[in-house]
Amino acid sequence: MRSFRRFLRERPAVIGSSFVLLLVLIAIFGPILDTTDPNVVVHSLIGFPQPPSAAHWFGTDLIGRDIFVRSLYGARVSLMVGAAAMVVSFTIGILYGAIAGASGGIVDNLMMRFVDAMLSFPTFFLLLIISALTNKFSLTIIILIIGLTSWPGLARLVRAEVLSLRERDFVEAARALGASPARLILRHLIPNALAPVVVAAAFAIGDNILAESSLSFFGLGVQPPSPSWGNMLQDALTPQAEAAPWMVLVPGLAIVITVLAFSVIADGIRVALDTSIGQETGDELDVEPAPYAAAPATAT
Amino acid sequence: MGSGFAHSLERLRAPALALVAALVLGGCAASAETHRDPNTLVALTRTDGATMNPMYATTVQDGSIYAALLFDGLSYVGADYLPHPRLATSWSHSPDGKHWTVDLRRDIKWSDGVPFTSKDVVFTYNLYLNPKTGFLDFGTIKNVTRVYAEGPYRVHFDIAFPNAVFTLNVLGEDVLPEHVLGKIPPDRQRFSSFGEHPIGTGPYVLKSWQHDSEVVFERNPYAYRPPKIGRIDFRVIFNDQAELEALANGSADLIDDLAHTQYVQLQRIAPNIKLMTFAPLYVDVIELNLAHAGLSDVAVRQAMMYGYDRVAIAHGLYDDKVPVPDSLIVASLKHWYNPNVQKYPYDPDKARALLDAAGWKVGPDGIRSKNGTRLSFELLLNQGSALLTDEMLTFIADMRDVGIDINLRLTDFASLSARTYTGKYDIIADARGGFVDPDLTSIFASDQIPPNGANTTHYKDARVDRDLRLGLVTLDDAKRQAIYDDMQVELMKTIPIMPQVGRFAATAYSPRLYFDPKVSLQSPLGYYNVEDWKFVQ
Amino acid sequence: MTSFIVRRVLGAIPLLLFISIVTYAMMALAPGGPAAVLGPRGQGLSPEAILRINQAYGLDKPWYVQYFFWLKQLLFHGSLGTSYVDNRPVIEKVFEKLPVTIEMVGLALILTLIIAIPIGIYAGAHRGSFFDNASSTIGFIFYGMPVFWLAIILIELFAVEFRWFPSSGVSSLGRENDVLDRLWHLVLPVVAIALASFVSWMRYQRSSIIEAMSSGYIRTARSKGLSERDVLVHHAFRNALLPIVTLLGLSLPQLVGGAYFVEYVFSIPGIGYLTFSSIFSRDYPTLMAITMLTAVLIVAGNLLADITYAIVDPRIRYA
Repeated sequence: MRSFRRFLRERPAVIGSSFVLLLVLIAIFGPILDTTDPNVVVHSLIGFPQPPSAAHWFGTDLIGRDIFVRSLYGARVSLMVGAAAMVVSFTIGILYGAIAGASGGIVDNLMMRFVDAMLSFPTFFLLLIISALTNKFSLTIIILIIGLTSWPGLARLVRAEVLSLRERDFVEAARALGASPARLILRHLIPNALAPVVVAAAFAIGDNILAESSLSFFGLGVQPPSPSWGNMLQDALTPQAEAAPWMVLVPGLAIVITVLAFSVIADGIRVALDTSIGQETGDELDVEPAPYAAAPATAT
Repeated sequence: MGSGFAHSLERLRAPALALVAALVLGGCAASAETHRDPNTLVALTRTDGATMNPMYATTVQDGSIYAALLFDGLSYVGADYLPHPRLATSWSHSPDGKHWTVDLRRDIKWSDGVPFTSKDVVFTYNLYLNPKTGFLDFGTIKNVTRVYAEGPYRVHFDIAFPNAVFTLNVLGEDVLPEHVLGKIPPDRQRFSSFGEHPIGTGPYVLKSWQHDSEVVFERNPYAYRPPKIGRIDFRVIFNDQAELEALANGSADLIDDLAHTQYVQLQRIAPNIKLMTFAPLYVDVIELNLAHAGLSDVAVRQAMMYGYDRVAIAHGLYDDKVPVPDSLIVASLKHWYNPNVQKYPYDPDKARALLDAAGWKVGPDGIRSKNGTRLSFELLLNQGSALLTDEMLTFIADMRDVGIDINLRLTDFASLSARTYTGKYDIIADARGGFVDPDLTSIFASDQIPPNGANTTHYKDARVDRDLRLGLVTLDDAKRQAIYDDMQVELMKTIPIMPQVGRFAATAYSPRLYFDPKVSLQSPLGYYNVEDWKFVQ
Repeated sequence: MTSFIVRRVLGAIPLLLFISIVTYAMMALAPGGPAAVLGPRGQGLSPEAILRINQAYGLDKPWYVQYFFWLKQLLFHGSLGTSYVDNRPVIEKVFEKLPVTIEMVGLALILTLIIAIPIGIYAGAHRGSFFDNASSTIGFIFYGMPVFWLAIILIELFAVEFRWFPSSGVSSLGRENDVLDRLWHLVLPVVAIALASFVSWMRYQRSSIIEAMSSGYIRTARSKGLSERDVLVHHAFRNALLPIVTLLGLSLPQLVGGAYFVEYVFSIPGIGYLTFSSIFSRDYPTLMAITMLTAVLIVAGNLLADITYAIVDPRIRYA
């Protein structure tokens, strides 16, 4: 397809996609190939984090656990949470936003005010309560939490897109040319509406990875000893971190690079879909990473 | 096309650089100077207190430290962990132990100049005893049935039954001014402005308070224990690193509650700073819910003690600077500590043998079970400390080795507390201690199981019950020692609470400060002789 | 326009009511109340004390009764109540923490705009150039850093290693009123916030410049023979700044809630810190006050954004 070829011409996007593909492969097959237990505590190494070496590629942490192996498992968590939470928030957000945008009037107004309400809640408090109330703290709960707190921002986006689509020139033009409603919807509305959504989806995976890392950092996400890049960062606040920077840098860089990869992929998708749908100016599909619309857990 | 644009960017660059330079230089200047008032002691703390009203003080900061600066009790606890007279001059009790007579000092004035008399003492205790007041320490004094004065300098107490810790605990409560608080109804006391504008008899008065930022105390002009240091300035700094820097560069004089990692770093970056370590009064513990099927078996609990390598924690995480205690009564309480209790050196083979002998068979997944009960538990821990989390993870790994499965669950303190009191927990990691008397009734007596008390482990042991009952009403010291020795033996045989490692206690202070507290400043007693502290440079 | 504003304000009232009810209900769900957090010297409270505390604060009543009293107190006495933690008026606690956060987030916003707008305009004007790609990539790199991680690294590098800036707090001991000293303390936190968030602004700016520059009236201006510079400055600019202005309105709530993690890592006692600590100590009156304040700012921010949009773009008219 034209879009795909266009995508392949964006070099950062290709690099990003390769990285993500690699990460997925590592996440799936890594723990199968390297069967070291990520949670083994080595008594003799307690309190003496080891720098990266041949035995421990990324070094060890405060209680002797191998950071490389833990990072592999952490990759699994990040990818799963990132993608699954995105599915949850998009399912709700798309439906909600489309209905609001299409209805207009009072229904739209009410629905958007509800979105405002969702955004006003002290999200952290909500997270605290949910985490305190759930007895079995599983990855599913975390995915649900992140998904359920990030859909409002998406709903706003979708609604805006639907609203602007209704007025678009090409819709008028198509109608004027005698296009049937079905053709209008299938050939014009949906591809145009979906485009920014797809882009937002790619950005959302990155946002969700950031959200999970914040939650886990505060102890409200993936529970120790299960590794997640976020909870591995808890060691960063111990003064031993000064002498053992790999404890801080490895999980942090893992997050940065992964989110960067998803961001450039999203950008690449944007450019690809942009020029292939035939918009005369392009960049109207610009959808941005939107920390202000996302759950405050990812905000500063 | 870009020229105009790039040019405008250019024009911004010079002033931007200048601004940055100004900030950096200004900052350097700020850090290099330490023009401070030489007569002010700057102490650092990680959390601020909530209120200066001792009735409602809830944290160590306001309950132990600020209260020690502003208020006095009739007695105080000295470095020997025994009670001594403070606002009182002497006390005596009736032969049956149910009546105490306390004589008061005559030279005391409140910080607003009004003389202190027995009226204040009677008022204070009656206020504390009134349930409407909501006095947080009510449980300590509730066996007082009557308080009345005899003249302006003598007070009488009637108590329901003889109480060995009367002078320590009951007489240790802070005394409040009747002329300030007398008119306020007991149920409105909590809302008075006394928490922001306290009046006490202590060596200091409150000068100013910016919550969560800075508290300043000044010498009380009417103090009967006038302090040598004129001003104490507490600065709130949330993080360890910043505390260290302030001390190292001379802008602060004291960190009273030093973390172990700070201790290590200070030795390296600021060798001129003086360090003092103390025998700890607090112990990190693991509390077990004895109502839980697996944990009700004493063999399981003993096995957990044998299977846990506590020395590795003390060595690896704390550089051997904390003791590995054998009893919940810390060794520093020399008067009461009983070294002849069952010991639990790290011996995983012995742990496994114990479990096997008790019928806990290892299943295919490596976890033991018996009659349908699996040894699988949830361990609750307060979030926020990577060090404690790592300690617990070591414990969990050790337990897995002997066939016990434990899942860690981080949660916030309020949830932890709520679950502890409602019994909805398996295992909790906590810290215990701070007491100087071995009377542990509220924690271990079988009639103190919540909601009646604080026996959150649901411990029921007839022998310990008897020891606790007797120990409380026996006034003879030697007899008490024997009683509590027995209690410790029984407690360490039945292990409702597993002692882990002592909590590191140290203080760092500038060489210009001289003080001799002999007890950790973060204990309830640390500031007991703050009036003797002085600057020597 | 006025009727539009009035309608929006009136419409906000049920929203605020709804938010307050649900937030209060959430608190009823939270395990452990304020009594669970209190305890003299950590030994736990006696049952009598817990009972007294609950009675004093009305916590022994069902949550909807408590909510009713809270609402009554707010509407008829204009009071937000007293804190459970230290019995001080909530409004006092909020107002003593607000200035620091506003200062920090405000400065961060200014810094963000200083970085984002010029870069965004240049990148948009040179779409597809190396500068464009590089600036986006660098922006994404910073965006991908968890803010608390970025903060920790900034502290390690600039405060501990190089010692250029302090690692925490808002003022040096004894220099509370020194403006330069305060600014010096705020440099790292402000930079952390700005770096983590500038990419969105930059790209909004970039896309709106692109759109503006290729839209109809720009072509007209060009065909009239105006120089590129004039085209850019006099026409594109005005419209390009539009999204920034609306975004500013939407960012109003950030002034209150925008800096939890940074305040935590930098030990800055602001509203973020107050929110965290009132959640952990179950100080409901304070939490309610902060929530309502945030809600009001969201409504006001939305309204402001819509109004400025209408002012700047004459094509938009609200009935």
